[in-house]
Amino acid sequence: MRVFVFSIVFFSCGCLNEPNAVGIDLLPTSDYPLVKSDTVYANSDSLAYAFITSEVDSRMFVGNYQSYTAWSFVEFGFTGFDSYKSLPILAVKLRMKANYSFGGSASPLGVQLFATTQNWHSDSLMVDSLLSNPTAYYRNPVIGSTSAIASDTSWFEVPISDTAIVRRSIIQEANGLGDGVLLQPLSINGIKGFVSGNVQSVDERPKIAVTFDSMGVQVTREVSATKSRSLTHISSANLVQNSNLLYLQNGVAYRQYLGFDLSGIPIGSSISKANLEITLDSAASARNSYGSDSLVSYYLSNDNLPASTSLKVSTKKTSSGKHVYNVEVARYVQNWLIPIVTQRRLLLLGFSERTTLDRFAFYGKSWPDKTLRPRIIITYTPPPQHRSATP
Amino acid sequence: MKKILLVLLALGAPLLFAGGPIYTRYGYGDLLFYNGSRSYAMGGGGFAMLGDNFISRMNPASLSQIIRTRFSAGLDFSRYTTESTSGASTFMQAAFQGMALAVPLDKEYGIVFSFDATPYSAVSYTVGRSDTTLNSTQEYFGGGGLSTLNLGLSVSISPTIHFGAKFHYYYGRTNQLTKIDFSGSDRVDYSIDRSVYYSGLGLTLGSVIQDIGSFIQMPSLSKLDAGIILGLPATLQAREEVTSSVVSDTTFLSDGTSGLPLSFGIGFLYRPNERTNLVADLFTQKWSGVSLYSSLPNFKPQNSLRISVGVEFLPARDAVSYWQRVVYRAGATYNSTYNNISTQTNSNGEYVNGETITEALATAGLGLPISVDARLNLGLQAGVRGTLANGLQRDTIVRLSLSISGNELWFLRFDEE
Repeated sequence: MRVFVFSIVFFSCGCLNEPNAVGIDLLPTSDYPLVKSDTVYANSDSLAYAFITSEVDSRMFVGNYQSYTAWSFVEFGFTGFDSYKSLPILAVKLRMKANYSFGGSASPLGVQLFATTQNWHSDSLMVDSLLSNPTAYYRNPVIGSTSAIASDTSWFEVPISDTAIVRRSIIQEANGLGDGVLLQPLSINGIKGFVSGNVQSVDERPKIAVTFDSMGVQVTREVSATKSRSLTHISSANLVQNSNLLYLQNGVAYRQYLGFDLSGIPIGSSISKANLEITLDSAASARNSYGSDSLVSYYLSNDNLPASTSLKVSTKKTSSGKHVYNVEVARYVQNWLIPIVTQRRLLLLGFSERTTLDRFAFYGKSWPDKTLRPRIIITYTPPPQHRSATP
Repeated sequence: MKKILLVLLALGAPLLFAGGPIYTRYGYGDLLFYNGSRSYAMGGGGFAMLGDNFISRMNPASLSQIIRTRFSAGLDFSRYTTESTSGASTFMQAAFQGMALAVPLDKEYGIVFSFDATPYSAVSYTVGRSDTTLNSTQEYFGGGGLSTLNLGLSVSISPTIHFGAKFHYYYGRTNQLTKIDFSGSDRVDYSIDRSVYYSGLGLTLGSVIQDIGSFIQMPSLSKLDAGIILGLPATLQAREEVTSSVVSDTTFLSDGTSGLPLSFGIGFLYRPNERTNLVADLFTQKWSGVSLYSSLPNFKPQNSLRISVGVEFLPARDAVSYWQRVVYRAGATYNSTYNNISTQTNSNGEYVNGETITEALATAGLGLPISVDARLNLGLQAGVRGTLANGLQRDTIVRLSLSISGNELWFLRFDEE
């Protein structure tokens, strides 16, 4: 028995149980993964409108610019006014903190206010709805207006001349401002963004400041917004200026479905790398530095739904003077090669879709210069095939 | 017996993390030449050995003097230290040496039937590398090998001339598993599992002529026996199955054939006294021209040659002392293997300067009595294989064989003599 135990110890001592490189040079090269690289181009694209329920967004827009229009609703909770109910109201102002500009930032922003109905929380509400049936969402007449420069980080103020409606809000009567205020743009040279009523920091939210006369002393009391919502619109016809370009429009929003012809990649291939490259036409784009200069992509399931776990964010490089956005989509392509997968498309949208109005215009699948078309560069190992006498 | 079984089970455990030399990637892997526990410690030869105490796995004519039903089984335990220009690593393996059963049917005519299951070749390697091109870790594993199920029959046409035939059923698979592990989470790790399943029939003929002196009228050679074996070429059916983790529901299949060569062996046994056996053997296989299913461009099968010598010594017959009843064995073998491997290419991309892989082993062993009719045979082989030249690798090999052979009367012939 001692001999056996000694033998086991001797044979086991120092032995390796993990692969290492000793002998790797003797491995037949045919055993190494056969790596190929191919470029596949987009063979389909589709512009898709995405309804954004912006009641959670941190920014709200007001203004007009080119074919864009942006309206906003803000809701306030009139509480804490018990000791002020009987005091005369001297002035009322809507105050909003500016933090974004799209279009003419130096132009004054003209805006008028309306008291709203509760209906503006409706999921299906769009600017078109407001225009076609305004009384369903807000009440005439105008309760306040202004036209002023809205500088970033400064507080933009709109006087509310209808103090009676404010008093009704304070004493909790009907037809007050309890259902909110609609901000309708009057100017046409730019859209401004403001901190919304949805942000965590109450101090940053829009406010209504009410100034009372308390026995000859002016006392100002503010209430902060409890909710807000933007309705931003541009028609697809106005967005798409060139049919050979692909557009992503933040804030409205418009997204792109991109499909690819993978017939050249054998089913069963192992995808080791796949990068989507999509090139920006800067001249046809409209964007500034307020938001992230990035795209987001999603893998689409067979029923055309984006899989939330598939979110990928682009990186950017410059090639021949053009901005090329790059998204790592290896897992998408791997799934696309499963025979039961019928949907070989991805969804692209702007990273700052909910907080900016950036417009991205990319060279599309029919752009004359093929090198600028959307493409995926795929590095892969073909599936095992019969290799007679050369395994 | 119980202790021995426990030991055998314990020795099987290392199979869980066996690796081995990359040479086994080529052809059918390492060819094992297992002729039995007795010859293992005598350089691996012994084609001329006869007797009731020994089931020869290679020469069916050697069965003819088995007078009692006999069995044997064992384990082979190997330790490889592999050196290459990139470093050294050590592996261990444990492998079943198979089992054999011999049943005498007619003692007068030496008719003995045998059945054995014996490994023919073994594949076992583990290597890995980091690939900066794909930014991945790649691991390559090899396993499997060929085995044989054999039916043997011997007959004696005279007291000193014996013939035998053995029918082989070759079966088994060689397997290569490749694992690619990408460093980024976005990459899809995958593995490719390739197996080639082999099956086919073969035949080996053998003869042992005792007392060569009488046979050729030279009395000075009366203590010399000779054995010859001839293995006929065989064609195995090969089925390749390849699966990938990416398409786990699909198996890629292909079929073909793969050859085994003509083989020839000759061995001599000389008995200077009744307690000593000297053996010398030569075994060659005509691998050149054999078409292998798993051929590779840098691997050229070539004719192999194995030369071995050995000695076996019993201190005393009918001794009382345990250690005087122990059989002591020693030997050596040189093997020019069928592996001719090249790592260099010419300007046309063709492999050139192929190197023959040779091995040299010294052997030793003991035959330990464990009962009246059984022995535990210990065999040790140690030596080197290969070279560091031309980008190849050198293996330092230590093998231990543990086998049990039962219901035997050792050196019965000595008593009869």
